[in-house]
Amino acid sequence: MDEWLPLDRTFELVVFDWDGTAVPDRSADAAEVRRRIEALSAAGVHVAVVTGTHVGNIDGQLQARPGGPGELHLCVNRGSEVFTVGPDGPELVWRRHATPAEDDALDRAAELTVSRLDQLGLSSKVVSQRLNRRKVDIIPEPSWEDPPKAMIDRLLTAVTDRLTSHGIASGLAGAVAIGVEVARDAGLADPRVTSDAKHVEIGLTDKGDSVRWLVTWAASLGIGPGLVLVAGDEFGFLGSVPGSDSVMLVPELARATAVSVGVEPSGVPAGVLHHPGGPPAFLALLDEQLKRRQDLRVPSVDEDPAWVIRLVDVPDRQRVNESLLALSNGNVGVRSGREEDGAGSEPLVLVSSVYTTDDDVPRLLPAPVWPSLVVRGEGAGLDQWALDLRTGVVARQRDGSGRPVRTLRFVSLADPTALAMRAEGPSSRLAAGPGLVPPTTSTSFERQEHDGRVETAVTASTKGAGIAMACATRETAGGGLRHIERLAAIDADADRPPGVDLARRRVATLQERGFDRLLADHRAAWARRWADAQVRILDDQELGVAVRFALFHLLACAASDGEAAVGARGLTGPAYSGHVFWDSDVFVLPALAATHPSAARAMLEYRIRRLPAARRAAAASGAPGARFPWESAAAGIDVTPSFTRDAQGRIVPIRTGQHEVHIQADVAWAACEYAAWTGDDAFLATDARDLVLETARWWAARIRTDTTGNGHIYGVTGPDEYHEIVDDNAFTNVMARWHLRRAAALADAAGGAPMAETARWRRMADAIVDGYSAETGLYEQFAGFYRLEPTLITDLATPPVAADLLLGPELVHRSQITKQADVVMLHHLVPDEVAPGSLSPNIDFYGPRCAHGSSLSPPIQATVLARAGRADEALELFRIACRLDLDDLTRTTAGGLHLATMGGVWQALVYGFCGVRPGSDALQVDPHLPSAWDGVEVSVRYNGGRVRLRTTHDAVRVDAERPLAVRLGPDRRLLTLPAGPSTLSSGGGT
Amino acid sequence: MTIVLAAIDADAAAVPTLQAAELMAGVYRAAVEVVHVATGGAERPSLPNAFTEVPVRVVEGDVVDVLADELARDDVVACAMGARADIATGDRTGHVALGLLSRVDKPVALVPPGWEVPSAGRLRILVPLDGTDEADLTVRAVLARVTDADVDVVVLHVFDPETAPPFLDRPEHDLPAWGHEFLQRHCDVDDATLTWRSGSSGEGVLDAVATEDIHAVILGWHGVLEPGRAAVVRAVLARAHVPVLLVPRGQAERTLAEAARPGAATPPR
Repeated sequence: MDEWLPLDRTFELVVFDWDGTAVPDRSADAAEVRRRIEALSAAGVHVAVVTGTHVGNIDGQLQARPGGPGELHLCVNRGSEVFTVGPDGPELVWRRHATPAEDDALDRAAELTVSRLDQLGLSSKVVSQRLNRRKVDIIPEPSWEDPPKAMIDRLLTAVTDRLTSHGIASGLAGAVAIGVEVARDAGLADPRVTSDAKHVEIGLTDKGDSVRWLVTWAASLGIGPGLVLVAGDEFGFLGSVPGSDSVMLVPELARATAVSVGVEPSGVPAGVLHHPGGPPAFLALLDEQLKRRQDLRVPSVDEDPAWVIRLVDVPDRQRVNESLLALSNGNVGVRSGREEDGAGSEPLVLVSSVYTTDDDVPRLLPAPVWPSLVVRGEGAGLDQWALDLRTGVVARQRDGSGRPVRTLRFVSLADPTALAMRAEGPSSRLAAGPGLVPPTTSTSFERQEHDGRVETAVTASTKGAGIAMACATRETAGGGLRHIERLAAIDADADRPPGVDLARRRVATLQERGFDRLLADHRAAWARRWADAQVRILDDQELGVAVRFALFHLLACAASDGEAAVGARGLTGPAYSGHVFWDSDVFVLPALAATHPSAARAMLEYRIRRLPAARRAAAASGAPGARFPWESAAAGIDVTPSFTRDAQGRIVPIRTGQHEVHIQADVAWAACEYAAWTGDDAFLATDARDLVLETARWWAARIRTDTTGNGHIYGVTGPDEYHEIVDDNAFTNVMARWHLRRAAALADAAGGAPMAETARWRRMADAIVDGYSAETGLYEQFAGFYRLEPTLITDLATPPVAADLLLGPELVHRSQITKQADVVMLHHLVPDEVAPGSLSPNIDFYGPRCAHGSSLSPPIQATVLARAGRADEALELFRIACRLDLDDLTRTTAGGLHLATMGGVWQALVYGFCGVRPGSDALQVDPHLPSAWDGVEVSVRYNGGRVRLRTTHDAVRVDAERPLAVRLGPDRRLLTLPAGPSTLSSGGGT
Repeated sequence: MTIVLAAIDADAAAVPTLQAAELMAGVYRAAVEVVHVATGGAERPSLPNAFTEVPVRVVEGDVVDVLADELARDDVVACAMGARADIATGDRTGHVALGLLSRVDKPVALVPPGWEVPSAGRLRILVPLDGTDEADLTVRAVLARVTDADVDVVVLHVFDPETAPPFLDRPEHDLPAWGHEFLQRHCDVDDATLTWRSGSSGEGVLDAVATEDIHAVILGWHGVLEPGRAAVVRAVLARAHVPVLLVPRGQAERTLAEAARPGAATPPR
């Protein structure tokens, strides 16, 4: 999104040089800059002074005592110390500690510099021995004892004349070069040597180190380099030496706006703006930032191509974009449509777990639509959108005559009931209008206006569920522009009328807190969430952004506490009505268990709280234990539609609810996978114990033993839904076997089932048939599968293809064409439960038969292909999965995002390519990277600690927050790594 | 005043053709005018009682030439004419329609003999859409006109290897979502309904005509009926027992532009 001018941006962090930039000299009154810094801090803007001098000098002159929330940092001693300044004064937060050897080397370097210059007949002297640096005065003459900044031209001329007349032809650069040379001779490997024209300074750090520290600190708050303003007065060359402020322009600060207010006799480097005028010009920049906040300007977005998804509302992409750009915090989800009313848009706000049961099948109740504006289209172009994955904000720009209309919105990750938006544009094109409008689908809607530009609105079902929303509007105008701010809060409940007053109180709290603070808290919350969930594909930024896009929506789909009912499309669209499937347990949950465990825990809590309903369902069918539904909503009963209609309008019964019983094992598997990632065995032994045991109990009753003693599960549907109601589906049987064994082990350790029962479970597990043939290495997908027509999918169509739709359900039913990974899904979920060496033969057999007609299939097939060492094949399917929603491959993305596919993408990357999965005693690591990739970086949480892995073809670099047990490679050799970085070679050693 | 031509002779299709022309005139807000080509003298066709007020023009000359010239008139927006069951094969008995269709760029309705205008209820029009921009544009041009008419629009999509989506997770959830979005993208009629078939497009249209209580079909086409081309049009013309309005694709842009003019009744999205 183009800005009109580089400085027409709202910055969140202002980094500046002190002497010559903020003040004319070290003795000047700093009251004017102090006043502005304190005001910026109060407005939430962070400020950092980067200087060579020590903290006493700067703090003594500045005397700022900001009260926050914006922080003031004093980065002093030329990159060696950082202080934060609050009402009580400076407090050290970081220091570069030199070793004694480094201090000795610095002393030697300074002395050698003086000695070398002396050999040339040039007098100089060491004038200070400051922290981590030594300063040599190369023009120790009374007339140049303390030259003001304004005389730098003359000083430079005098120094250059002095140096060249003594044989240093390159002048100041030559003096610096001498400093570098002698510093290395003295034993400093990476000396930082600079000059302010009067001195040569030799140090361990420079201003670049200060800026690097600030970049890292800002990143922890969700502030990327594009939101940083860097100001100085010496970016250009001083003679032949780069200006002292140039070292602030470190690569990590790419996309920052740099501006020089200095004289810059040699001009400024490319990319640096030149606004000469000294400190008054700098103060004007600060004033502009203050004014932007007072004017309610729309915040800027750091346009980092690795983190920003940019979309344009071309015709027919509008509703797809609304899904792709949807924002959620796990509690509230908002589709990112245009704020104004208009054709083609389907705005929707949903609240997790709040369903309406007014229809036959429950669906998520639409909330009042927020945000709403009046945007007129005079001379308008297409809407341009930017979703910043790093900070979870959506920005829109609509061009037209004059300045564009711009908006920015977010659904707070820090406050689960808060939403916020700002808009700005020409008054002729932008107006507030109502802030809350009715949903587009028929729902009871009541709206009220209150004092202070607050409005409330309620949507409700006739059976109690309701959503109340309060919206507060602020508005400023001037110079033909209008600025609008809308804060909103919700209250919602699945069973009782919502609290309108509560929503009003909440929005009043938001008003007190203010938009800028809400945004800062939201950004920081996203930064924390990403810290455990980094993903980066080296040298493939486009694919990397697609993976990050998937992870963004995964991280946003579930609340961090309470319970989280994660529907197939999350809160991103109306499709699937918010119903919860195995998608949630098997596809979405692992990513969250490894990156945001509290959300995974909340997803499991959703299942645990519905255990009573599952018990009732089992009892209703005369079975013991608990029977979880295939499709679930609020009540935990089965909400699978009972029928649909075919092309001719004939009724087609839907049997998944009755027969896709593997959901029982899927739920238990999710609980165990969560425990494996987190190491939270207590969870399994307590809260989740009955969930695992009761579902196992149901299996034990469902299995039939034949006269030979073999166990069978009849009349089920596996993941391959092209073949409904089959006997002994390998996936179902093996998952049931795993489940019974796992439950028996759990009961032995944690109680909940008598030994006789667990012994029976083990016997049944041992007896259950799984269709495996040691001779072929194959699992028969179900009894009789081999007797079906041996059709390959390529005989009929090009996968991926919805084969049932194209060829008809009868044809696929009588053929060996499968909908999705079924047998090989076992090799992914329970690899220790299948025969060793059976992965490849089953991939070879079932791969050519798989239509991949389910969006779940490509990422899982990619995962198992990677595990089989066929990473290049896997990459093709992985790419499809990554682009599934971004390219609307299903043509249903307008109805919401395919969260299970996104979860599969993460699993393919982490379990598949990186070969990382949680073992019982160690983190398993066995990578198989595609040849097209140089490497992958991922972060996960394992056993309560953060683990960063950088996987390349030759090695895996592990950076563990705490000591870590790793089982490396296919033979799973156990290694114990200390906290901190370790490198594992592909040969299996460290 | 704009005109819908009813090209009739004395055969059994005259009444159905007139009835179809009247329905089209309602859609186009036009008047019906009968044109009869006298090939063996200046005979005048006798119209049924219900149509005695309809103006009749008798023109001498080659049938195809005359009708092509009449359709080229600025005030003529469309034409209805009798169809022959074997038109699709290009046999002699269908040569007039065949010859005309290859020369005109305005909608032509081919009305099968024996078709009867529905006696009650709303007219149900089937609109097959393949989801491509070109086809959409063509048919949307006509749909832009029928929006205000007293008709039900049934959109048909036939899944074939080119148009079937790669993924369909749960039909009971995904097909409604897909269908909703398909209509949003490809059809401007608010209350249109969607039906779908799989396989051959021609068979899909015929099946939908038979099972969806369809009274007429609107098809976009390229204007080429030579062997090997326009398979869907051929199949439908050969076997459908309802009028088929063929809309030349080149005609669509003009109609859309006209409909989009300021003040036009129903500008397309």
